Amino acid sequence: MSRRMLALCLGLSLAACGGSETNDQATTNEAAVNTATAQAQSRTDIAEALGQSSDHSSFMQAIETAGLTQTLRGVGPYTVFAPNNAAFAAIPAETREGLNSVAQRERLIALLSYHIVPGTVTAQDIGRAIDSGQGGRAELATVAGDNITLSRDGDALVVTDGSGARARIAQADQLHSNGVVHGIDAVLMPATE
Amino acid sequence: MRKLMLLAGVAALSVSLPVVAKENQGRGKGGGGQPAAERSQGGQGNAQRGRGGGGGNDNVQRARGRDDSPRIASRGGGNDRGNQERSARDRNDDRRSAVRAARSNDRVDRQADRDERRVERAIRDERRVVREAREVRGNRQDVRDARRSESRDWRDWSERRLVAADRFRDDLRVWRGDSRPGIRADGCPPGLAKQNALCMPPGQYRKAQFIGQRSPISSWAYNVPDRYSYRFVDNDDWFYRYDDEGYVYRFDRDSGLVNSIVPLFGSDLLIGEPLPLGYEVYNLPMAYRSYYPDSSDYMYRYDDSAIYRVNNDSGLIEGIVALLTGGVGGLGGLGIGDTLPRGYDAYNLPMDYRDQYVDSDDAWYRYADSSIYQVDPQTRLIQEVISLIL
Repeated sequence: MSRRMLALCLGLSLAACGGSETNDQATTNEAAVNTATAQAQSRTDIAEALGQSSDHSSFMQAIETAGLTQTLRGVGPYTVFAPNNAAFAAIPAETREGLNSVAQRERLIALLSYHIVPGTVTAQDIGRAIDSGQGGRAELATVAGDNITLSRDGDALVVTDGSGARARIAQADQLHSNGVVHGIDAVLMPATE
Repeated sequence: MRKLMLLAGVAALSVSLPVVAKENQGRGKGGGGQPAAERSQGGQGNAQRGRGGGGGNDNVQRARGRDDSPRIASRGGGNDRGNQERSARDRNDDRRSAVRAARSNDRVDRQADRDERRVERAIRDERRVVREAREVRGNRQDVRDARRSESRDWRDWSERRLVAADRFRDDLRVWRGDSRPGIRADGCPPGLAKQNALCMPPGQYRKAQFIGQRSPISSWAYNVPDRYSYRFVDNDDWFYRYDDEGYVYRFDRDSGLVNSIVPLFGSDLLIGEPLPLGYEVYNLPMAYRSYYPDSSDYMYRYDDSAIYRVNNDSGLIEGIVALLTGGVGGLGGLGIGDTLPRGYDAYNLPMDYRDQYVDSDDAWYRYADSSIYQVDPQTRLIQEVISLIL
C-alpha cells in the first residue's frame, strides 16, 4: 500500500484499506487506523461542542432552524466562525425573527454558510497567511461562495465581511473531530449584489 | 513614546516657568530662581534703592550699598565713632545679609522643588491625557465598529441577494422570426436538447411561450404564495405574479410584458419540502458516496453545492449534511493547470494530512471538497489534485 493511501486511510478513519501488502503491514496499518479512529472519536464534533456552549446558543438555534446541524456533525472538515449570543442580539429584532422563520430558511442558510470555510484553518494558519500575504490580509473562501478577509489588529485576529464590518476572533482554535471553531463577536454579512 | 513624554515635559516647563517668574515678581524680596552671582552684578540704581530700605530688592542689593560706603562716608564726615558704629552696623548687615541669603537659598530650593513637582505633575497629566485619548480613540473605534455593524442593512442584503439568486433566466428572449421565444441551448443536456430549443422541461417550455407576451394571469394583485414570497420581491424593474399552476412570471415594469418565468417546484431542494421530480437518481459527488449512501432510512441528494438528506418515511427533505465549495468561487471542477481561486490564502488541510503535505517554497497544499490541491506558489496554478476517495 502506498504511503498516500495509508495516509488517506488514517485520515478518513476507514478500515477498508485492503491491498497487496503483507499481513504484517496490514496489521500495522490496521492498528494505526484504530489509533487514529480512537483519537478522532475522543473529541466531540462541532455541532455537539457548540451545542454545549452557553455562549453560542443563538448560533446553534439558527443552525438547527436552517437544517445544518447534520453538516456540523458530518465528516467535514470545516472551519466555523461562530458568532456569540451578543453578536446575534445586535441584529435588528425584526430581521432576526424573520431569519428564524421557516419561510426565510434559504436566506438563513446563505447567511450561516458565510460563516463556514472548507478545511481546518487554525489561528496559526491564518496568522501565517496574513504575514506572508500582501497588505497584511488573507482571504478565505466560505462554502457560501463569498470570501471573508482576515487581518491583525494588535494581537487579535479580525474578520472583515462583505459589508466591511469587522468581527474579532475572541476564542480561537477550538479543535473538534470534524474541524475547528473560532468564536467571533459579530455576525458576518455577505456583500450585497 | 519616549519622545512624546520628553515633549510633554518640555511643554509643561514652558508653561510653568513664566508663571513662577511672575509669582516671584509679586513677592518683592525673593531673588527668584536667579543665581546670587548674577544678582550681584546689578547697577547702582539698585544700591541706592537698597539704602532707601526699599522692599523691592534683596540682601545682595544691600551688600552693594556697602560697596558704596566710601561715597557715603565722604558725605557723613570723618568721625571715628561714627565709623565704628558704621562698621558694627555693617557687620550686623553682613549677618543679616547672610541669613537673608540662606533664607533666599531655601526659597530657591523650595521653588525648585515646586517647579520640579509642577513638571512631574505636568508629565503625569500629559500621560493621562495621552492615555485617555487612546482610550477614547479605542472606544471610538469600537463604537464605529458597533455602529457599522448595527447600521448594516440586513433587509437590503437579504432582498438583493435573493433576487440575484433566483432562478429566472435572463437569456430568454423573444424569438424573432418565429412565434415562439427562444434561446441558444449551450450546455443543454442531450435529453432536454431533444425536447425543445429552450432546453426546458416540456411543462416549462409551454409556459415559456408567454415570454414577451401580455400577462396570461387575470389578476394583477400580488399572488405569489407566502412560502416563496421572500424570493420574489417587486421592485422598480420587475414585478412577480403566480399562475396557480406552479410557475411565477417576472414582468417588465415598463412594458408590462412577461420577461421570464420560473417553476416554483423542482427548481431546487427545500428543507421541509418533498423531494421534487428529477431527483430520483442518486447523484452525490464521488468523494462523498462512501459517507452518504442511500439506505432504508435516508436518501441523499446533491444540489447547488449541498448534500441533502431525505427521510424515507416522511418523504421530506430533513436537512443538509454537507456543504461543498462547488464550481463557483470554489475548487470544485478545477483541475491541473487551472488557477487557484481567491480565498485560499491560508493552509487549511485536515489535521490528519498535515504531516504529509506541508507548504514549502515549491508547493502549497489546499483542501476543498474532499480533495487536496497541490499548487505552485509562484504561478498559483494547480499542479496536482489528490482525491481523498478510497
